Parts: sequence; structure tokens; C-alpha cells
Amino acid sequence: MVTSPLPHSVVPKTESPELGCRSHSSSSKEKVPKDLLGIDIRIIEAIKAIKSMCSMFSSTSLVHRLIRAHNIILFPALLIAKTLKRLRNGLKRFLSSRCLVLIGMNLQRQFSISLSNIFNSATPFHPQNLVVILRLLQLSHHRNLLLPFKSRAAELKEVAAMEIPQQQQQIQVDLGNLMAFDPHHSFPSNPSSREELVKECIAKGTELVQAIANSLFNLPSTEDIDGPIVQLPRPETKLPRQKHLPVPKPPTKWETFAKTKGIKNRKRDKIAYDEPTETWKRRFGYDRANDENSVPIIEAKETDVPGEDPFAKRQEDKKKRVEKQDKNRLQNLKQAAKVGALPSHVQLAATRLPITGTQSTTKKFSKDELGNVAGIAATATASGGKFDKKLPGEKPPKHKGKFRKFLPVVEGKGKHSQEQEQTDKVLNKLISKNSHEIFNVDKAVNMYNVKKDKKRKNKPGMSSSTLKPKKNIQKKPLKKGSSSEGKGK
Amino acid sequence: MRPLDETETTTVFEKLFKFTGNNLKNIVENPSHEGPDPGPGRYCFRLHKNKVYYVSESLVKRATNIARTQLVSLGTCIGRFTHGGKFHLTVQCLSLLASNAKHKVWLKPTSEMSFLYGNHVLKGGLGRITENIVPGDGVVVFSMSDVPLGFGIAAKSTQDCRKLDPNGIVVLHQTDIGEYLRMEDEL
Repeated sequence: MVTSPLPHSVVPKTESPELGCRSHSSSSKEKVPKDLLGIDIRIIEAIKAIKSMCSMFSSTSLVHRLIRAHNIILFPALLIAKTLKRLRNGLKRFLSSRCLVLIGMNLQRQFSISLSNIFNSATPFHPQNLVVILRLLQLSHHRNLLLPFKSRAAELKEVAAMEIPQQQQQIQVDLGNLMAFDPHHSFPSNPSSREELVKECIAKGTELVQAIANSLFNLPSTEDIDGPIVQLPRPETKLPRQKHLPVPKPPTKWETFAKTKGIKNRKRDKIAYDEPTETWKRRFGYDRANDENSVPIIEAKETDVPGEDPFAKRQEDKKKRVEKQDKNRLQNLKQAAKVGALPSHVQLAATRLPITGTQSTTKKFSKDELGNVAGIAATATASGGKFDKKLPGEKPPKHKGKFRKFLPVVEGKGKHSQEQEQTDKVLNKLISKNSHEIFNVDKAVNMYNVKKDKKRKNKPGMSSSTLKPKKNIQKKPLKKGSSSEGKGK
Repeated sequence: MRPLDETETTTVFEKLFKFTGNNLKNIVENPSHEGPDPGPGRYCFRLHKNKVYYVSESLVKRATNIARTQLVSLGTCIGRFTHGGKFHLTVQCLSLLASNAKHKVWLKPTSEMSFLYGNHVLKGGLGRITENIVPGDGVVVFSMSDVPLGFGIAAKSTQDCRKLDPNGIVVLHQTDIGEYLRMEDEL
């Protein structure tokens, strides 16, 4: 039951028709396309899928083609999954990216659902889910794995015992990866038709899955409410990386120098003794030991240049040192960039740094920008491009600027005056806007009061002599202002 | 020199409307008898160097002979557009406003001078006031002998003026004919 690692290159394209029976999981910890993560993975369906795995091998005409197209060595379960026609496209992407790991992790989050409940529910099968659940089982090798196969376990064993007693010895099983592989398999004769091939493939796939299941139940298990729990062994098969190993960083200038001189990096304490305060302080950073900046008095030396501020000089020196270090750093990064070993945190910002030689990356013009330029060029003729032949697909130039148009200063006599029209329009608008104040309550009340007053004044007819002259004075202006009110005192 | 565009016309008319009310129609449709034409022409508004002029059309025609840079003024300047796009009336439009004013205030002879020096109209100086003034309305200020002195914005309604104490402000000063002396250069 020991698996042998099977590198991808072992199985070339030409061999693909026979591939159906080989089983090998292909996965790596590379990025997952987003659409896959977006797939709603239901464990229920997945578990169900496993349950019905043995019985559901039906139409598998696509296997052959798919395998050939991707040159992928397949997990038996995957193989089965791939046969389902309606999810073919999604699966294609899935398989080509070989990223089962992340999905498995996604599932781990959802794994709190009791599996025994899930197992009994009857929901339609999705090949993606099948893949996922298998991967999930693999992932859980470091924790306890729930095996809700209790009811089916005996059944499965029987089947295994009946069907494939000899082959099981030949099959190599890597339980850590939940993977099985039959190195001794060969087709007795070339299958005549595609259907036949498919049938054979599925039969072989069944065997392999069965082998996994059998060895799974041979593992020592502990009882749980949900069923027996087994601990998966560590995966033995080494799966290949998708990307190359990172290039080692070239040594910096200092490192090469130190090597030639035999200088070794020695660790210094984080804490150093601070003489002025006679305490222990951190060696670097804020409030550090022996900080030059915190020294209030600097003793004069003979070498001091008269008229020079020692404090300012210290600051300047420090600035120079920092600048120099920055320069060195960039130089080293430049060297690293040449080899292609830029550290990942610098890679994104590399174009901003003066590393790559060309500081400004060539700007790409957008479609709109090009269109605008073309428009300007097209209108840069004496006629403003009016009589030019239009290129196919050329749009009329867009005027970005504002072209203010005013009415003519003077219009001919016979013409209908545009300006008059405009003023009338504005005037009517203004008047109609303010026409709602037709009935003025204040005014009405005022008029009523004034009338009342007049009546009262007329009736008694005993106006005092002091009032009369006053009235006369006020009457004069009153005639002009139609309805005005005496205010004089 | 150019005619006002629509937004400019609206701002100018709104400002004038504050002072004249529906009499604005009279200003716009005022017939002019200038020029050699036998029939009456019309008055129009023209913008020149931020200033708005109220000119008869026949005068505009003749003014087109003069280059824009050379033209200093034509017709009656009624106000100017500020840099921010607002419209301010100037003293020169006083005669136009006075003849079409909706709201008026007459000053006592004693307070005339104070107003002409640029002060607000106080209740104490108020001779007479037209009815139905709402705070914010444009008000033309007259002397008791009906000589227009300037204009401003009503600070109090007519009703409120009755109860106001003598030192309360009735009309906020905007312009007065004293500016002809005080701000001679700017006009």
C-alpha cells in the first residue's frame, strides 16, 4: 500500500486514452480563480456524491477528450466528475488550474454540519462537489476525520472482497492524499469504440476508489456520535509545484565584502547601557542609548573648525549617512532586479523606484485619448476638417471647450428680433412667477381699517383744532402716493 | 458690447423687478424717439466691460462704429456684473427706477443729508412710506419734494415701521445721489 510519486511528465499526451484508469490527484497550493471560489459548495451534495459514486458511472464519453486536452492525470473521482456534460466548462477551468486546496479550505469552514445528517439527504449530484469532498477528506489528515460511512462500511467491504481481491494488492494507495494508483495496469487490447473505453475507464476508476475506501476503513478508528473517526496518515506523494522555486537573492555589496574579509554577523543585545543617564536603554529607536541628539553639550576639540556648529554638523552627517544607505539599498535592489530576484514587497513598487533603469514607464494611451488626438488632428485644417474625407469608423470631433454664442449686437429692421423674444420670455417668466401674490391680505386689512377710521372721523365731526393743520400738511403728498399712510410726527 | 444672454437677462430683470414690480414691463417696452428713424424704436440692454447699459436701439446701431476698446460708455449705465456673476445696480439707474418704482419712501428734509452721506434710513427720518412693503423689497428713496435721492432695501415691513423706535433702520442704504460726488471716479 505504498504509493510511488508520479510526476506529470511520466504521462505524455499520446498515452491519454489509457489514462482513464490511472489515478493521480493533481493539486498545488497556487492561486484559485475567483469563479471557483464563488461556486456554492454544498457538502450535502458532496457527501451524497461519494455515496453514489460507485453506482453512478453512466455516460462518460467526454473523459477521453478532456484528458487529452489537458494532459492531466486524474483522480478517479475527478474522472467521474468530468464525465458530466453540463458542468464541463466549469470543470475544465477547475482542473486546469489544479487548485483544490483552497476550495478544500473553504469547505473546512462549512464542515461543522453533521455529516451523518448530510449523508442521508437525497440531493442531486454535482461533480464539483465530488471533487471537493474528496479533497476535504485529504485536508483533514491532521485532524480527526469524520467517517459517516458506518452503515455502508460493511457493504463496501463485501463488494471489495468480491470484485477485486488481487488488484488491490497491486494498487498503491496514498491515504494522506486519498489517492490510489495502479502501476501494473495495461489494456489487454485497444478498445474499439469510445464507449467501450469509457466503460473500461469507469470500471477501473471504481476499483481505485474502492481501494481507497477499503484502506480507509482499515485504519484504526475511534467511535463518535457522528460515526467512526480516523486519523489520516501524512501524504506520501510529493505533488509538483506549479511555479518555479524562487530565485535566490544575490548577495548585497556588503555581504560579498564581508565574505571576502571574513566578517561575521554577530548578534548584539537589544538593550545597551546609556552612560549619561546610567541606565539601560534600547539600542535603537526612540529614547535610545547614547543618543547623539540628546547630548546637550559637546566638548570642543582641537580639530574643530571655528565658526562651525557642531550640532548642525552632526545632523548633516546623519543625513548624509542615511542618504548613502538609501543609495546602497537601491543599488542592491538593482542587482537583484537584474537576476529577477526582487523581494516580493518591492516588486509591485519597482517601477516607482529608480531600479529598472527607465524611471517612467511608457504610458499607454487609452482609446478615448487616441480618439481625441485623432479628432484634433482631423480638424487642424483651414476648414476645420469640414471638407476632409472621413476615415472609416472615424467619429465627428467632440468639442470639449465651450463655445458661447451671443445674439447679434444689431439686428436688421425687417428681421424678427431674437433679442426682443428673449427679453419677453424672461420678463413673462418673471411676472408669472410673482403673480401669485394677487390678493394681499395685509393690504386688504389696511384698507378696511382706513375706511373704518375715516367713518369714525366723519361721524363725530369734532376734530380738535390741533389736528386740523397737521392733516392739511399731510394731505398734499397723499394725493401723489396713491395710498400712502401718514407717518409724520 | 453685446446683448445679454439669457441668464444675464434673468439676473438683471430679477434685480430690477425687486424695485419696480410689474412696472418692469414699462422699462423694457419703453419706446425711444432717438435717431433719424421716423417711427419709435425700443430700448435694449447691452453689456460692455461688465457694465450693463440701457440704450435705445438706434444708439446701439451708431455705437457699432466705435471699436470695443475705444468705447467707454453708451446710453445709461444701470449697473454692473460682479466677478462672481451677481448684478449690482448703480446710481445712474435711479431715474429709471424712480419713475417705475413700486415701493417708495419719502424722507424728512432733516434726514435727507444723512442719507446722501451714505447712511441708512432711520425711522426718525421717515416722512412717508408706501404700503405693503415686505422686508427685502427694493425701495426708492425720495425727498419730501419728490426728488429721487437713492434706493435701498427695506429692512422692515410697513406694518412694523409703525411700532419701530425712532432709531430703527427702515431702509438699508444701497446707493444715493451723493455718490456722484463721492465716487466720481468709479462711476
